[in-house]
Amino acid sequence: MADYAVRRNQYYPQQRHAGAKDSCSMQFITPLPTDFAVAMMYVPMQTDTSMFDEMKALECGTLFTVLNKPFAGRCCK
Amino acid sequence: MSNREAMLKKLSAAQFAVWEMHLYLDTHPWDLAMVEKHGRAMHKYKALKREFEETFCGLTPETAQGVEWLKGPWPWENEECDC
Repeated sequence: MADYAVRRNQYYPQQRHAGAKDSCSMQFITPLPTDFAVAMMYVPMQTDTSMFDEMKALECGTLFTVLNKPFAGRCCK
Repeated sequence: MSNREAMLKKLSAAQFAVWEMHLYLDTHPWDLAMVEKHGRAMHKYKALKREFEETFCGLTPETAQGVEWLKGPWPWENEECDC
């Protein structure tokens, strides 16, 4: 994982996350930037990479368990 | 489900997993553990695709002769289709 910081800075030089400067591990990446601006919208970064098996993923429409959002609404007839 | 359909579904699932990891890496290019998993998933997908194509027919322009899909069955000729 030695080139973690290099890759990270290469792709996201301006984006600052907590602990990102001195860490070499995904666990220090925070879902939201630490220096956020008010009144702006942010999409939290995915930090959990737990996966379904492939067949289940095809069924759910996502490989990642954390992104599985089954439709919980209902028809309003 | 016939053997052909089962293999095709397995292939679809393998390809889907590769695509999902690819999308994840678009936003997390520094995650080298995922780069490795993506490589392994791609290897598995290619092996399954080769196996399917050797058993049945080519699936993509690189491996099919350009007339494979004319042989049928067309989607509406499948008996299982309830559309």
